[in-house]
Amino acid sequence: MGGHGYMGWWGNMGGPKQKGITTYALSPFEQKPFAGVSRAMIFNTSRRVSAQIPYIGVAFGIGYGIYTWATARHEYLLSKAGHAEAAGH
Amino acid sequence: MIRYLHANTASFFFFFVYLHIGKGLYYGSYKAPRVALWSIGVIIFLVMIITGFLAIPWIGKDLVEFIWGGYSVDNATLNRFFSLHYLLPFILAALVVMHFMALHEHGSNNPLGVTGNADRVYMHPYFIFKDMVSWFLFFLVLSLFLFYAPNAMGHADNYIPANPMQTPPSIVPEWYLLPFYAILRSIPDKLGGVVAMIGAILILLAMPVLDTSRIRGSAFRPLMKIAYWLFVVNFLILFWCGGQHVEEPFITLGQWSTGFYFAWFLILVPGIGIIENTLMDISSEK
Repeated sequence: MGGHGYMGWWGNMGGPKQKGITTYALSPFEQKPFAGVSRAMIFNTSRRVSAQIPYIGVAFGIGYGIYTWATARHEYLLSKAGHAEAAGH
Repeated sequence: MIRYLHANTASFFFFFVYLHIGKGLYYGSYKAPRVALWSIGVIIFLVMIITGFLAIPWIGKDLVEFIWGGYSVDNATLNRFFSLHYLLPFILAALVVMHFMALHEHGSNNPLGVTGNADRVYMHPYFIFKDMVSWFLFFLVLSLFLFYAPNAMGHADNYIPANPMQTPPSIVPEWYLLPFYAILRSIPDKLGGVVAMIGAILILLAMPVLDTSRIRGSAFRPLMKIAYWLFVVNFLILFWCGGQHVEEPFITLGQWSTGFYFAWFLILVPGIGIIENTLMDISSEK
């Protein structure tokens, strides 16, 4: 089974055979796996999130408007004035 | 505690599944060649909804009356529903295996929407250990709910024992069923409401056809991004309407939201794809 997809079947990775790869490793003392992470955590995250705000904000702005309108309208319809309006007075 | 564990884990299961489906919609994971994977996923979602729904005899009762128009629903019906609630998870488990098999045909999608075929790492240990972070976080949050707020995601009305002699004055499904419940009751016709509710789930199956864009995923499609979030917010409104009493303005709002739900699939998604492709063609013409 499989074979025509990108992947091999169940654990067989498939994909193009990789050749000429040199593997070496830095000593754990030389590695800096958390280099700049505290800075990126604040500035990178805020930059990337704020870049999405124009796309997300439109929808949530409209949604919040509908939510407040519907809540107010519901409360009005339950009030004395709202009942009078519903009865056509 | 075991019952609370059952109920809260089901809630989280649905929460994660909604995120998973949302991710699939955003990143175009339904597009060829992963149509089989997506379709099995939609069926899993449908069976999940049915399973979750059967756990609440009060809602089930209402629906049976919707379909059968006033036949008495008694103990036998509740027993039958409970049996299916036990049986369907085994079918779900089999479907999950099929979901995995379909996934392994073509591999996972990624946020860029391009093939990641040339650069792969093994599931174990890389993803196992990465996922374990999420598992532990999940168990932490689940424990918080389980031990400190076990009823936070439920509704008090669902503690009223089922009474075959009385239709409940108001029914509130579990939160994860609310959007589809809102769609169900926004259609005035009984059978039409059921058809719309099931159609709302099955319309996901049409996504591979409805998405006319040449680009997989929404990461590089500004119009689709806006449309996607409109869909999300509309879905949240459906969530909200489904939990309200059947009163104005929630009736009208639910109907408009249902309309938008279907319009998103049938008009917005194909329309935006066509606009994008046309703009692309115009700009690439000499």
